[in-house]
Amino acid sequence: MATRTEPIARPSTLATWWDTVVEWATTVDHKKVGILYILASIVFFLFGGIEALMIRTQLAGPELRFIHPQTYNEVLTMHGTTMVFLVVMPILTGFGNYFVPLMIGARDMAFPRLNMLGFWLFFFGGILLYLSFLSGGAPDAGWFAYAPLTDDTFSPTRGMDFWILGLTVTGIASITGSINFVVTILNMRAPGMTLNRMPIFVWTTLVTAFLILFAFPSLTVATIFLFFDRNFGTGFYSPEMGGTPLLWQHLFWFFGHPEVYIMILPSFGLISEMIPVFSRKPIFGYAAVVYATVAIGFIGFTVWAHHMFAVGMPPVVAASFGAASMIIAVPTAIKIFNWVGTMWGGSLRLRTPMLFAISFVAMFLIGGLTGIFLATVPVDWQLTDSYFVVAHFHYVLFGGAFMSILGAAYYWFPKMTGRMMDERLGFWNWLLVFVGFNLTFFPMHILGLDGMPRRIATYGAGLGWDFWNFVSTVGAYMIGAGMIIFFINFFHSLRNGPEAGDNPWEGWTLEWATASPPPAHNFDGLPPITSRRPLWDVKLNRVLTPEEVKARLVKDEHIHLPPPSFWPLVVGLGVVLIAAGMIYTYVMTVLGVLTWVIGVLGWIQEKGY
Amino acid sequence: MWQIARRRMRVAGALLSVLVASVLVPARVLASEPPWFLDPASEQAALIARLFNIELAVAVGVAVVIWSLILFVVVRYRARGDGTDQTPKQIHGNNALEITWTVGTAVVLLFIFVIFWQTMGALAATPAEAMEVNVYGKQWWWEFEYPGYTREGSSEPVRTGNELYIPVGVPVKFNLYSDNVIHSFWVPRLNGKTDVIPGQVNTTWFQADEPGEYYAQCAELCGVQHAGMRFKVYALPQEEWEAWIESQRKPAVEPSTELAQRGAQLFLARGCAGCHTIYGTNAAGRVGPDLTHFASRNTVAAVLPQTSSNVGLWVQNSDLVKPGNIMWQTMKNIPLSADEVEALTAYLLSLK
Repeated sequence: MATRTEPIARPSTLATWWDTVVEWATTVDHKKVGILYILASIVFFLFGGIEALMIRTQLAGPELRFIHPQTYNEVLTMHGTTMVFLVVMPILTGFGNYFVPLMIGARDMAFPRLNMLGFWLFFFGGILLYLSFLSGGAPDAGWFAYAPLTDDTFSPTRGMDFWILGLTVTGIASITGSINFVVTILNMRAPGMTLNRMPIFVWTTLVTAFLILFAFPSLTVATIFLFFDRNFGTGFYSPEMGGTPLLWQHLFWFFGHPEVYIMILPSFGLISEMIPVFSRKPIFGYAAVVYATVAIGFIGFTVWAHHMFAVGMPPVVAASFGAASMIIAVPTAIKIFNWVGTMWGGSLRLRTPMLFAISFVAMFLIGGLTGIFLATVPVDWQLTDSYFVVAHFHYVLFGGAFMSILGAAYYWFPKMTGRMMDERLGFWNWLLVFVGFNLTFFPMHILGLDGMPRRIATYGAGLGWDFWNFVSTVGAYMIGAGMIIFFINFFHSLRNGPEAGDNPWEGWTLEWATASPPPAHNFDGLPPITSRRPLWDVKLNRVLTPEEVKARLVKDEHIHLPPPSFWPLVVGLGVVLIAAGMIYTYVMTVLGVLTWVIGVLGWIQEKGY
Repeated sequence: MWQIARRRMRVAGALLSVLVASVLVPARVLASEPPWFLDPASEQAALIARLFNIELAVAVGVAVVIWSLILFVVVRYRARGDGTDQTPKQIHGNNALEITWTVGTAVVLLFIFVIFWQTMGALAATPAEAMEVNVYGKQWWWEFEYPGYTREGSSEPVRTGNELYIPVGVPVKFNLYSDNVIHSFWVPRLNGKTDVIPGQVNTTWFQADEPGEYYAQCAELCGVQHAGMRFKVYALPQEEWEAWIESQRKPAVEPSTELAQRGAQLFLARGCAGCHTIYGTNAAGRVGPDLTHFASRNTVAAVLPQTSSNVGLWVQNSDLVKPGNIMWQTMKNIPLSADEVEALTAYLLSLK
């Protein structure tokens, strides 16, 4: 096994510091790329979290003047955009990057340099988006940016242009990442790792990659139309010029609804890894869970107009979209029942990852059930654009996706760093986040029924909205406290956590068959893969004794690993300069094109691949 | 080692009970009188509330079953002892169970779909005899126009701002117009939302069954003052409503006091008339709300009670009341002295 190293070497001099920077900036190792994705997402999470607290502070009481309504709209837009595009998606991509190759027994992703380019584009796209705060105003039309509020008449700052270009750049990152996942998963599985034996997280990542490939083009088209409307005088969304604002809504939600599954399917995958390991049982109904995942992927493309029931569509059309949305509840329920079935009769180890995983099932359930309310059109007419919807999607994306991400952080931290996170702090982290989450978001259901619309910067006194808003704000700060504990735990454990060993949780997927953290080449050798749980078979001597496994490991003397490359950085810089130049000055665009050309030329002549 | 220390379990239990209690405290006890759509005041809202309540019963039932399963599993099957490896029976699945819960879920959903479909049918058509009101979503206020009722001696219809008066027991059809961004027309206790979209005319309708005030506000993010785009529906008994519309058809009353007369002159001289109409005077602007019978309203700009100090505040410094509002873009360049504000206030409050 490879020697254990600190995950991020502590620099002692300027030279070693610079070496570290160069090492990480030019890496094409999928594990380092994964860590970069995760670290950058954490930084954006801090921004998004501060924005959330600003929103809740402003709404703590009626008619407060904590921030100006214009600032409120900007903060609100950036909170949604950040959490969706710069936190949940990339952190799941980060986990996928790190663990998909390990779980299928591969050496790396199929296209290592493309992988790193994806990271740079995501990171630079996010920075471009945030530059808007320093350049005259952030986007202010909400994360779904309904035309014509996004028009240059109604949103005259450059904020929306930053939004368009930032999302376009991160969108390229998502596309490259997805192509990479599809090719890696379909082509690079170790001998014996048939599709039918793949860990469920790998399955969900595969389905998600396909969703991204089909959904993102719609967003890109929509935003480029919008950019033309704002900057070159076209009128795709302008009724005076023969366009229609509803075109935006159809294009956006054709992307936007699959986007929900893009965020939640990998979370289902994470849960489906953790629950079996901490229950000491295989996943119940593997085939059913996988079929349900694929079914959600397909049906997810047929429901987009359920976001638009109030736009005045014919009743039969509305009812059809409502029915399709209700059908999604079937595969979702199948998953929930199978998770409970997995725990049934098991031996539940209630460690921190499991606490988050069980919370996920219980909280996501609420999000799923409220989704049925919103699918039934007449009820949706009352609830859409009210706080009920805010409650609904936070139960899906926070109670769901974010809980699974926190669980996965505790689950895989030992593998990524070689050290365990602290269980005590982990427990308090979980408790505060779980209670705070419910205090924040459960009252929003009531506020929605009470007639409070979403996205209002303040509300009148005497409407009966004060109490629950205050409770919600208290809950938000409780979540904040819980996350501070997470970060204390994270940094403390990074240095002082007990050594993890190869397989601290006694897991059975292949990432636990190597050192923690894994060596650059991932595996010295793989155990035979004859079932869905290779390490379980080894442990039970079903296949071979551990000694025999070790003896039989194929020692490859000439492991070929891709060398580091600067060119993804250059190409990424080129793309983001092209985009930034559209706002600042076309000189930058020209420079960007030059940088991009140089980058591509360097990329294709590079030896070693 | 696989267990949580008992003390921590107890603390967790206590905190979770606090959580549950705080969520279960009935909202209606604490709330003063929210525009709660589950207290419907129209046929449509009642049908929707019925569908909601059926769904709520199903959802609570499902949630209780699944949470009980989870709780049971956690309590019954948590690892015991000091962490010696317990290996439970390895079960990979059960097809009969898979089919049962797949079909079971589908049946429950089908049940909901049937009621949903029936409700859709019951809600569909606007009655032919409905009275029409044109609704204009503006940034950031509502204009209501009564095309069947013209101003005396004119073909211009009666227009009001932010306050919608309707007769009880009469179906009212709303034609929704916007010449700016998308808004959403929503009176929770009377009906669900219909978006107000530039380039198309959506319609909706409702019939208030009982007299009363119904709170409402725009439900689609429409810019800086989205939160200030509120309005109220006043449902009046038929005769009271007819008296109201008759009073609205009349031209504005002549100001009687000297102060109000000075206000009337200022209204024309200082540019107010460029945006506002006061029927019966030379003020005929169509940008801002019609002020012909301003003093008959209950609020200033939909957010403040109509007192003379609030009117003065709005006239002089509307940005303090609704930051970012469009009137302020003009008014910030028209400094008004304190006695000018007083005169304008007196005039506006004389417009009964």
